[in-house]
Amino acid sequence: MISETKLRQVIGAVLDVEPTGIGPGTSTDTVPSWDSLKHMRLIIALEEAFDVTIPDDEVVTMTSYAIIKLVIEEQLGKR
Amino acid sequence: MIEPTSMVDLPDRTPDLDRLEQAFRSVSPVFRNVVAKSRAELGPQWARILDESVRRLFPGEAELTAAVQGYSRFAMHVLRLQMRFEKERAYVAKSYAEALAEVYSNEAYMRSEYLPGLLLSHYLWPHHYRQRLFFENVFVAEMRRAGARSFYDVGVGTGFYSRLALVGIPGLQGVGYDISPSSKSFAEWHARSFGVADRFRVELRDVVDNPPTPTDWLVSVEVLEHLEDPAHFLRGLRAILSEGGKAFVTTALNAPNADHIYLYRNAAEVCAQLDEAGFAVEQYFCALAGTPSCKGAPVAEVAAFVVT
Repeated sequence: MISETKLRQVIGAVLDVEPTGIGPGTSTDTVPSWDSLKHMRLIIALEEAFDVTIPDDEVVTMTSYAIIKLVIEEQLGKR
Repeated sequence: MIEPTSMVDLPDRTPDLDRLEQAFRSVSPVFRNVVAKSRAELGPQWARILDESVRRLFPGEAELTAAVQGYSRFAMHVLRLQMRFEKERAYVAKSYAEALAEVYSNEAYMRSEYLPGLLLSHYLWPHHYRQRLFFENVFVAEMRRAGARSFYDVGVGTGFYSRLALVGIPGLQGVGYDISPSSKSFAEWHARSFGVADRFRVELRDVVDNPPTPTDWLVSVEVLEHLEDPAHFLRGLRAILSEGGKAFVTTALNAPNADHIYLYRNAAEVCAQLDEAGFAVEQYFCALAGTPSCKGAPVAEVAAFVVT
C-alpha cells in the first residue's frame, strides 16, 4: 500500500490542485490544465517521490488518480 | 434556392482533422488540446494540410487510433528525454550499433511508435511544420524553377520530404535511401497514399560505403544527429552531389531522442561541418520548439540548410 496522502501531495503540486480535492474521481477529464507537459512532469515527480521507474508503456495510460495509484503500487511490488 | 456545392462545402471544414482531434481525446487525453493549440498557432493552411494528410494516410479509424497511440508514446518519450537533457545537457550515451539494434532494426517499435510518431510530428510540432514550409517554399520551388527531373533522399525515414517534392513537382522522380527495412516499407506506403509511388523507389543502402552515381538534387533530413561521425557522412553526401548540384540538409539541435547520438548545440557547429565537407551554404533556417522551461534552459531546435 502506498501513502495516499503523499500521492495526493505529489499530484496536487504538479497539477496545481489542492491535494484535498484529489481522489478516485480525479482524471484528465476533471483537471483542465493536465496536459502532456504537466503529465511528464507528474511522471518524473512520482518516480522521484516513490523511488520507482515507470515504464514508457504505462506513462500514457496514467490519466486518472486510480490508474496512477495502481501503477505505482505495481512498480513498488516489483522491488 | 439550392446553393452551389462550393458554397456549401466551406473551405474551413476539416472533417478528417476533426477525426484526429477526437482520436486524441479518446485515446490519449493528455494530448487532447494538441490539435486546437496547433490550429490556433499555425492557422487555416496548416489545418487544410493536415486534414488532407489524415484523409490519405489514415482513412480508417483503426489506423488512425494506432497512429495516435504511436505518436503519444513517441512524444512522451521525447518529453522525458528533453527534461533529462535540460538537467544533464548531454544526450544519453549511445553508440550507433546500439541505436541500430534498439530502433532501426526493431520492426515492432519502428512500425508502432517511431515512424507514426515522427510522421505526425511533422504536423504537430510547430518547428517541424515551419521547416517543412521552408523546404517547400525555398528548395522545392528552386527545383521547380530549375526543371529538376530527379532527386535522392538520403535517410528517407517516413518518406515525408520525398512525398512533398514528388507532390509539388509533377513528373519528378525520386530515390530514397535508408538502412532500415521498416523505413523502406513505411516510405513506400506513404508515397502510395499520396499517389506518387510510380515515381518513387526506396533502396536499402548506406550511401557513404556504397555510393550511387551523383545527382543534381539531394535531400537529407535529420540524419546527422543519428550518427557518431556526421562529418564523415557529410563528406559522403558531398561525393554524391554533382558539381553545381543543390542539397537540402537538416539536423536537430539540443533535441534528445531514442536514437540521437551526436549533440549539436547551435547551427554554427553544423555550418562548420558543412563547410569542411566541401559544401557552400546558400540559405539556412532555424526554428525553436518553444520557449525555455526556465531561464537558460536549452530548447530543441531544427536547422535546415540549402547548400551547393
